Order: sequence, then structure tokens, then C-alpha cells
Amino acid sequence: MTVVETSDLTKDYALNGITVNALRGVSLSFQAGEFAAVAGPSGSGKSTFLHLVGCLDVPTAGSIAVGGIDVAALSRKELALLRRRSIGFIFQAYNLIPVLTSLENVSLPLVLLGHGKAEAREMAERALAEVGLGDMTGRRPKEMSGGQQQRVAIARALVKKPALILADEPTANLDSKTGREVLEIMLGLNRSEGTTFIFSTHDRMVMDFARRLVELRDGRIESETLR
Amino acid sequence: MKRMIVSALAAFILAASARAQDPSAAELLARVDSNEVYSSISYKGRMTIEYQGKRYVKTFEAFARGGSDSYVEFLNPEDKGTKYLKTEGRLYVYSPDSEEVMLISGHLLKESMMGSDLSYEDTIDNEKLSARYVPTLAGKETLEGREAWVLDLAARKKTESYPRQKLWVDVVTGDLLRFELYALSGSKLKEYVLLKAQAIGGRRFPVEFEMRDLLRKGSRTVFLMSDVVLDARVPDSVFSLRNLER
Amino acid sequence: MNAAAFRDVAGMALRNLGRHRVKTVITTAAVAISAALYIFMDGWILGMNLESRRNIAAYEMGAAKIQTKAYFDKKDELPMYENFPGWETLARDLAKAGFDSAPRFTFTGTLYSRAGTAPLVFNAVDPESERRLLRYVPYVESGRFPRDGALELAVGSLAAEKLRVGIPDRPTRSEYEAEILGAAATEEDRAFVRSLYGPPRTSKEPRKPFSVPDKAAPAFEEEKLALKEGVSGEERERLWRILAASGRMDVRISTVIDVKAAPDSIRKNKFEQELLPSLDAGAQALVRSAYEPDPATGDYYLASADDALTSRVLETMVAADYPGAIRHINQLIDAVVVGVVNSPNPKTNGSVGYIPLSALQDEAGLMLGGAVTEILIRKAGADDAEIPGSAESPAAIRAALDRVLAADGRTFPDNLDVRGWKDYSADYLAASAGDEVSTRVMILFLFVLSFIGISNTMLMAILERTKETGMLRALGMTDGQVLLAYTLEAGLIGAIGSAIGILLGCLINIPMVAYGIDYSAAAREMGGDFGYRIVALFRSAWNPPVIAATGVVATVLSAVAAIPPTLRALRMPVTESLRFE
Repeated sequence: MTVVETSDLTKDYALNGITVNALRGVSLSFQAGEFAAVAGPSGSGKSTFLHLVGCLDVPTAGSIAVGGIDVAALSRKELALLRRRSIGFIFQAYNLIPVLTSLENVSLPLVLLGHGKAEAREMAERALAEVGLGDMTGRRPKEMSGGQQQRVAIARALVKKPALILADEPTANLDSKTGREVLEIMLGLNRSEGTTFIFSTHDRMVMDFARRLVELRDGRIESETLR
Repeated sequence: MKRMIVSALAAFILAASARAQDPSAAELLARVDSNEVYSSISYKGRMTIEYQGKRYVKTFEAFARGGSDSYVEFLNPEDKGTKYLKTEGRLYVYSPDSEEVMLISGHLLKESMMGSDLSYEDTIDNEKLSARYVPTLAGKETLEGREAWVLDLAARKKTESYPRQKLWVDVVTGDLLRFELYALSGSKLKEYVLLKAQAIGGRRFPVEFEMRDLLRKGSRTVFLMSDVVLDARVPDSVFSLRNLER
Repeated sequence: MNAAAFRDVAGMALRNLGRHRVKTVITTAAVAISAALYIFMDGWILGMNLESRRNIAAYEMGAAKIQTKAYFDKKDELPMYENFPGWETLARDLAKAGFDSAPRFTFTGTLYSRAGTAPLVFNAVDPESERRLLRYVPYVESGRFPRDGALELAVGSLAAEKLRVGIPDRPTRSEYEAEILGAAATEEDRAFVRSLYGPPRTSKEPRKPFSVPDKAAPAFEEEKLALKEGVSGEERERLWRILAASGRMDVRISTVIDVKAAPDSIRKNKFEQELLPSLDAGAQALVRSAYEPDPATGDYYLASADDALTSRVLETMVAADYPGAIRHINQLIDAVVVGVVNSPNPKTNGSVGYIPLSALQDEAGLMLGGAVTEILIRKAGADDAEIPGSAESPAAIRAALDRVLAADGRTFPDNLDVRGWKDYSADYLAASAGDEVSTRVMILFLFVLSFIGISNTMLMAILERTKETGMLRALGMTDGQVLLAYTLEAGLIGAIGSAIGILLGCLINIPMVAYGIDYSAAAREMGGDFGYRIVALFRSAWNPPVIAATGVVATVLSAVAAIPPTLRALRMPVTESLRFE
């Protein structure tokens, strides 16, 4: 099943009055259960690609289909609902809500989806246990290390069992050991739950984890490797 | 400023008849009324007001005709340009400060004119005394060495502004030497005293008199007239409202 | 959004408040102060208005008045000629209908005392009825109320001070020597007077903070003495007698009696150019039917011997404001001041005189012959603390009176009218409404300031959390949910602030309602009368709807303050928000 399909994806944006061509016609499709990396040096367009696929931004040209739905036809609200239901995000800077505990942070997507409080709590606890933080449910982000925070972010992304998890340079802020741990958790989840992961990176070690590696340069696909 | 003209003729008749027998009260009053008969008059006036230990002098120029129309314009610096016009029994004032002509009526008529002991009402010509009052001859008195008939006037109607007046008429000259104005309760309100009468153009004319408003403690106003010209031609335009605003 | 999600968003909002603690506290305090001030001011204004209204009814005019319709139309001029006879009958009928009444003849004049002159409004009253209906009568601070049938006056305390009648509280040294001590004829009386006056209680009066030196005032201010505190009623009475014996209380009322009278003759010009043009065709014909021109002079003479016609012609001329129809008779009445009124309603204490109606009936008075200008009405046994209600409305009084009259086959006189206290207090009511508006505008301005504060707090908070907002949107929060989250947060500030404000406002209100503020000294500085009918005590009143509304409005407005910055944040693309540092 095709989870994501992009066709001739193009994105220009203005930066200080200069038009930057972030993506120049990228056509890719990702199948369910893939563990794929979009790699490239900074400025290659990999983050832009992830943002467009995550429906956080709209392309200048080309089309994106998520789960077979053409996102160009969706309203702001419908896009938000699509993200809520089908897409999980993991960011380089973790982006946890500082006033909430790890359990609450993880429950938040469930609450938004309308799960009951008890149910949400149970599912969140399980998700935290899955990332190895079963004993840190009551901690606030400030009280945890970077790796722990990123694991909370992973739990938050996967707790609602989305069709797709997008991770934008998930290990960039972590030391290599912690980064590897985080990647192993992601890979484990991909194997056990069959969750589709697409992540961006410029780190060789991270690329090595990917079973499919798409390399971008100057907004174009440079190479594609399957392992 | 009424009763300003004394007909010399009337005075002679009065003097003549006094010798023969006492005149009747009605006759005396008729003569006082007839003093106002003149065709026109112009004069320069000077009003000295003494009130609350201060003295104010106001000068003015006045024209009057037929007993019903008069025009007064103040000349002293403080009041320069203030003008009064009396016509058809109504009194108008023009004030240079407000640049407006105002009709003085109702209670305003009781107010003091220019701070003097005269109220506006006192300057308005009413109907003849004989039409409004029933006179009684109350005897003969000597005022400052001059013999005078004393006339007691009671208002014919309860609605008269001054329900009672008292007049002193010089037996010899017919000059109105003194009069007093009374309130309904019988309290005296005002006093007039003739200070000096002069023969002008063959008639007796009160050129200096004093008015006292008895409610104003220690107050008196002395009027002095000079350059009196009787029966001179005064143009109609003087007595027009337009003249006030000019 | 479901309930659980709402609760979580609310919980998050509450916790977010803790993130900007200092700012939250300051903002909350601003809201609290605004709300408290508003509640306090509102209670104050309401209190003064209620008290003023009570005082208008209790001290000035009762619940309603009967006057002639013509009088009411010109009531500001106090047209004494628009009077009516037969108040005794109306009073009896009113009593049968369950109402107290008090007749009055109101006129203006000048009061001359030995030492001064003041224009006054005189109320000729029936002392007995007046005492029953109005509450100022017992507030004769020295002396007594005038007795029926005597030419005696009670005057307002301010008039008394100006005219130097009555017992002076703070005479200057020279006034004391000449007029008070000087009034005592015997050594014994002099000793008595000396025992009552001493140095002033406070030798130095506090200067007004912004007063500019008065150029007209003498550089040297004469020393003042003061009547000692705790002077007994008997001592006051004795002092009054001593002062009265010296002539201090002897006064003269100079007035003009205005009466309607058809002129005997009207000059041709006046008749044709002034009187006739002011009348409509019917009235012209009526006037012409009574006046005939003199063939010789052309002037018009009253030819009709028909009294009914003459009086109709007269009414027509008065209605057209023809000045010749009102005659002014000079009157001067000797009277003696027997009391000084100082009641809680400043209107009774100003340039007012009270004199028995019965003393003015003949030519020594105002030739009233039983006429009055008004009858004041209040429900028999009415509670002074109550503002006249619907049972005392003009319509209710009229209906009750009509029933009594109908029982005897009589009708209410056509020329009279019953009007309520509000009809006479329109000026006051309008002014107090104006005061209210300006005070409220001032307080609202304060509100606006505190909401600018909230807006600012929220603007900073939302700006700081741009990245977080981006995250929440990435998680699938809709724009509406983000907006709700932030308005909830701001609304919470408003809610907490207004809760504290309401508590604070009510705490201030408790003593304000129970005791009020005594400001008699300030009132004296202002001449004793600043519109409100209260003399020396401001007392607040509870206004629960406004207190509740203040809380709601403060909360809602606070919440609304979050909307603009949130909308701004939502305009930013999610990706940009996420990059925002």
C-alpha cells in the first residue's frame, strides 16, 4: 500500500527577498512499513520535503497524496485533522510542551483524537514503556535528558498508531550513543508495529540504519538506494 | 425722570388760586400730570450714585419727546455705549459688551438702573397719576422753608405697582418738591427730593434732584441736568430700535 | 472538541499561567484593581443616587405635587400668579384617599437683614402640614420653626450665614465683638456669651492642595472664634434670645407680587402690533370682543363688564405671554427670623426661606386670599427610607383622588395637574445620569488600561510560545482549538483577577455601606451644595447585578484580549513557527 506519493514536488520560498528553490521536482512514493531516510547536506531540501509530506506546508507545484488523498484539495482544518489522525512528528528539538508531564505530552494526541482519559492514559503509559520510559511518566521535559525527551517525542508520535511518522533530523541534538539508541527504538517499532518511518538526516550513521535511502542535493533526487 | 417739566403757566395758575382758596386734590394732581406736557427735550445728564461708601459718576445724553419716547446714551468711559430706548411703554437696553438689544420686562423692571436708586420701572412712563390714583389733600407742610401741599395718593386698583404715593407740591411755584413711593404693606420704598428747579424757556424745570432707594442702606443718587433744550427738533430716527444698535 | 480535550486544554492553559508568573500576577492585579474600583464606584454612585432620591422625596417635595398646568409649564420661573384656591378642600380629599399633603405658596424675593442682602426663594407653608410631610422641619439647627399666623421666617443655613442672622458658628473677632458680645445688654449676658465662644477648634485649617493665592482675599485673615462644642439646646435658645433682642433676627422681605390683571387700556400700537399677532384667530376674536378702540386716540379700552369673558381674555393673554397681563406690585414685609434650617438635603439649607402661609393672606403679606402654588403629596405613613414607588405615582394619586371626588359627585379641577417628583427633578436626574456616565467612562478607561496589560501579557506569552504553537498545530490542533486554548488562558487571568477584584470591592463596600464617609468639611468648602441631595455623608449601596456583571465582563474582555495575538500567530505557517526561536 502506498502511504505517500509525491509527484514533481516543487517548493520555492522567499528568503530575504531572494527566491530559494528548495525543491525542484521530486517524485517519490513510500510504501507501508518502510523505514526510509531522506538525506543530504543542509539546504538540500530534505526538511522541506518532510514538511510538505507532513502537510505542514503547501507545495509551489506538484502534488502530494497521503494515504491516497490529494492534500491540495484539503482545507486548513482538514489538513489539521489529517495530521492528527494519520501523521506523527518527531523533531530535532523534541518540541515537547514544557508545562506538561511526559505522560500528558504523550496523551495529548490521543486526547485530541477524542479518546477517554483512562484509555489515553493507559495507551500513553504503554507507549512510554515501549520507548523505555515507563518510570518517567510524571517528569516534565526540563527534568529529563535530551535522549529521554526525544524518546518521549517518539512515544508521542507513535501512541496514536499513525500510518506515517516523520522524523526531522531526530538525532541531530543527541550524542552518537543516544542517537543510536533512539534509532534502534524507531527501528524496533517499525518492525513490531509496521509503522512507516520517513526521516531526514545528514548523519552517515543514521543513513546506515535506513533500509531505503533517498539522497537529495539542491532540491533534486541525487540517488536512491535500497538495502 | 418723569415729571421733569413744569409748565410755568400751570405754576402761575396754581400760585394765583392758592391765594384765593385751597385747591382740590384732583386739581393739584392734574397739574402735576400736566407738567409732563412738552413736545420734546434734550439735555446732558450727570448721575452721582453714592452707595456702600463709594461714589460713581455717570454722564449721559438724553432726548425725549411727547412724554412717551425717550433715548439715553451713556458717555462716561465705564459705561460708554450703553443706550436705553423707551418707546410704546417698553424699555430696551443696548449693552456694548454683549452687543445685544434686550427688552427689560417683568421682574427685571424692578432692578436698579445702572446701579442707581432708580429702578427701570421708575424710568418708564406710566399713565397719568390721576388715572391711576385717587388723591387726598393731606394738608400743608413746610419743606426747607417752602410751603407745600401734601397729596396722599391711593391706587385705584390693587394691581398698581406702588399702591400708595405721597406728593409735596410747592404752593407758590407748583414744583414737585418731594414724593415718596410705598409698598402694599405701607412700607416706604423710595424717596424723591427736588434739589433745584430752574426756569427754562419760560417753564420750571427740575435740574437737580435726589432719589433714594430706602432698601439700599445709605444709598442715594443725585441727578443733575444741564444744557436743557426744550421743544427742539429731534429726528424720529433717534427713537428707533435701529438707533440702539448703531 | 470533546469534554476531555477541553479539560486538558483548560488544564494546560492554567499551567501556562504559571510559566509567566510575574506577568500573570501583575496582570491579574490590574484586572482585580479595575474590577474592585468599578464595584466601589458603582456602589458609591448608586448609594448617592438612592440617598439623593430619598432626600428629594423626604425633604423637598414628597412624592408628587398638585399645581396648575400653567404653573408646571413655566415652573422654572416660579410664576406665582399661576396659583389656585381651595387647598383645604383638596387636602381633606387627599386625606380621605390616604395621602398626606402640604400646601405651599412659592415666591422669590430679596431678604434684607441688618448686615446683608440675599435673594431667596420663599416657601410659604402650613407649619403643621409641612412638619407632617417633610423631614427638614426638625433640622432647625438653632431657633425653631415659624409658628402659624406669625410673620416669622426660618432660613437655610447658608442664607443665614450670608445675611448674618441666626447664631454664627465661626464669627470673626470683630463680628463677635460688635454683633454677638455687643448684643448682650447685661454683664450677666455678656459673661454667658463669652462662655459659649472660644478659640477655633483647629487653629490652622488645612490648605487646599491646589489652591492659588486669592488676590481678592486680604493678605491678613482676621482671627475667627468658634461656638464651643456641646452647647446645650437651652444655651442656644438663650443666645438666640439675646441676639434677637439686639435686632439681629429682624429682616425685611422685599418682593414683587405678580398678579394677573386684564389691562384697562392698551395703546393702539401695542394692541395691534404686539398682542394680536401673538394670538391665533380664535383668541384674537375673543380679545377683540372685550376691548374696543377709542374713536379719538385709537387706543383700546376694556369695554366688557362680563367678568367671565374678562377672565377668559386674561387667561388668553397670559397664555400668550403678553407682559401687560401680569402686574407687579411692590411689597415689603417686615419679619423676624426665628430658625435656621440645616437638614441632610442641601436644597433646604441654601437660599431658602420658610414662612407661614397664614401670615401672607392680606395686604401685609401677599394678598393670597387662600391661594397656593402647589400642594405636596406623600402617602400617609410613608417610609422615609423609601423612594416613592408606584403606589405614589401621579396616576395612582390622581386615581385615588378621583374615587374620593366621584363619591361626592365632584371632579378634579380641570386646570390642575398631579405631577410626580421625577417631573420636578428632571434636572437633577439628568445631571446625576451625566455624572454617572462620566464616572463610569473614567473607570472604563481604567478597564481598558488593564486590558491593554492583558493583551500585552498574552502577546508576549504567545510570541514566546510560537514554536510550541507550531508543534500543537503539527499534532493536529485546529486553529479553533489553538484560539480556544489561548483565550481560555487569558480568560483565566480575567476570572482570577475579577474574583479577587470582586472580593476586594465587596470588602471596601461593607464599611462604605454600613458607615459611609463623612465629608461635611469638604462640602462646606464647596459651598454646601454640589448637586447631590446629600449633606455630609456619602454612603454606598449594594448593587449585586453590577458586581456579578463586572466579574463576567472582566473575564470575557480578558479572554477577548488574547484573540488578536493568537490570530497573528495562526497566520504564520506551521513550518515557520517550528523554526522560530
